[in-house]
Amino acid sequence: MPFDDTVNLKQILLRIATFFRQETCGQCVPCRVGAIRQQEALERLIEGRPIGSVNQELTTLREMGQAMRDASICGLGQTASSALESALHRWSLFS
Amino acid sequence: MSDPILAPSPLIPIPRGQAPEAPPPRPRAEIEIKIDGRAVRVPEGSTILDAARSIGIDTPTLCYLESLTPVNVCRVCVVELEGSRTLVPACSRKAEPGMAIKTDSERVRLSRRIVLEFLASSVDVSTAPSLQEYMQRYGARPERFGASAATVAQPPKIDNDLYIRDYSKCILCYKCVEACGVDAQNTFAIAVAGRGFSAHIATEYEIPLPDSACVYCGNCIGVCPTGALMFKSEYDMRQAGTWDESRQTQTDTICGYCGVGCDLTVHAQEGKIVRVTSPLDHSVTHGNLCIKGRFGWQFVEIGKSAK
Repeated sequence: MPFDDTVNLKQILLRIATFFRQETCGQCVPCRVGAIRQQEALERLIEGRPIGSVNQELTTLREMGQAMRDASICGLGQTASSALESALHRWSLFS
Repeated sequence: MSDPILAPSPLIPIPRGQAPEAPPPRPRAEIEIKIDGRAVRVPEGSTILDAARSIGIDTPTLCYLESLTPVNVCRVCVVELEGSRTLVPACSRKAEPGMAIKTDSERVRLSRRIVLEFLASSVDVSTAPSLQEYMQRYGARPERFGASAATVAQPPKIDNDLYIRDYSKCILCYKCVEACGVDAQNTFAIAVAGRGFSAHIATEYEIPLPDSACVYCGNCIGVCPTGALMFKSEYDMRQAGTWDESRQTQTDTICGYCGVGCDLTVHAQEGKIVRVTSPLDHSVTHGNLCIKGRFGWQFVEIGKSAK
């Protein structure tokens, strides 16, 4: 989806994370818990209160993303981290 | 005058027809797959987990049990299959000729570690020894998600004298639902209710257990991997700090209530029965019992105190 430079990307990401937290069916562990941990981590980053350092949180997010993509049962869990990971990969949003 | 009718005597053999012979088992074709570079031959229809176990590879499992239909929801058994976009669950994925599997790659270890961290950060795993062992093996650090991470913490449900349900320890492995349903008991007293992180095991309309369809066979307790379902006797002793498995004996016996011949393993501490289980691999029970075999032993203790 194209965005111009006036949008608040962090809020968009938080909205996407909240969407997946609400939409996960809860059957498999990576998606059920991953969706909520992802949203929690993003909230901490946005509010500027990371656990450890920002880099530590970003590592946690990347690892969670990979496990959700690799181990979730269906496409919802497998793609729940895509927008976040893509944004973190392209822009230094939190550093 | 007709002959008197004789009652059948146990001494006169009753003529019986020849018992039909069972058809010979169809030979199962063998297929070959590669696991961690080693060629493995398994009968057609085997899972990747079967194949891995046949060559001594210890694959962690939580929601899998030999006597239940695999639901592959815990995702702790995932392995890397060459050519597959995602990892695949070893417990339910059937082996196919030519498959190349990695059971201990970086990718596999990461997913297993994260799954364990997800579980241990949201569920009380203090009475789940196998899960704790896996956490050590994969270096899981659930504390990395912080003290404010959402959990399923809630007070235990104690609404009957036989067993308690502490869903703050539930990892939603579905084993109890399966044992209560078509895989063993066919009672269907419990199911998964709600969705997402709020998904949980519940009776119909969340009514208390005594009002539900539960028949107290306790087969759900027998399959629970985390101690979320627990004998009331064990729960009370744990609360009092007196539960000590190192001081317990296990005695195998046959249930005396009826003629089925269920195998019981009676667990006793200081000569007092504290719980009853049945071996999973026993040909009669497959680990399942009924309310009498599972819970009908209080009279033993009453008899003792009356003496």
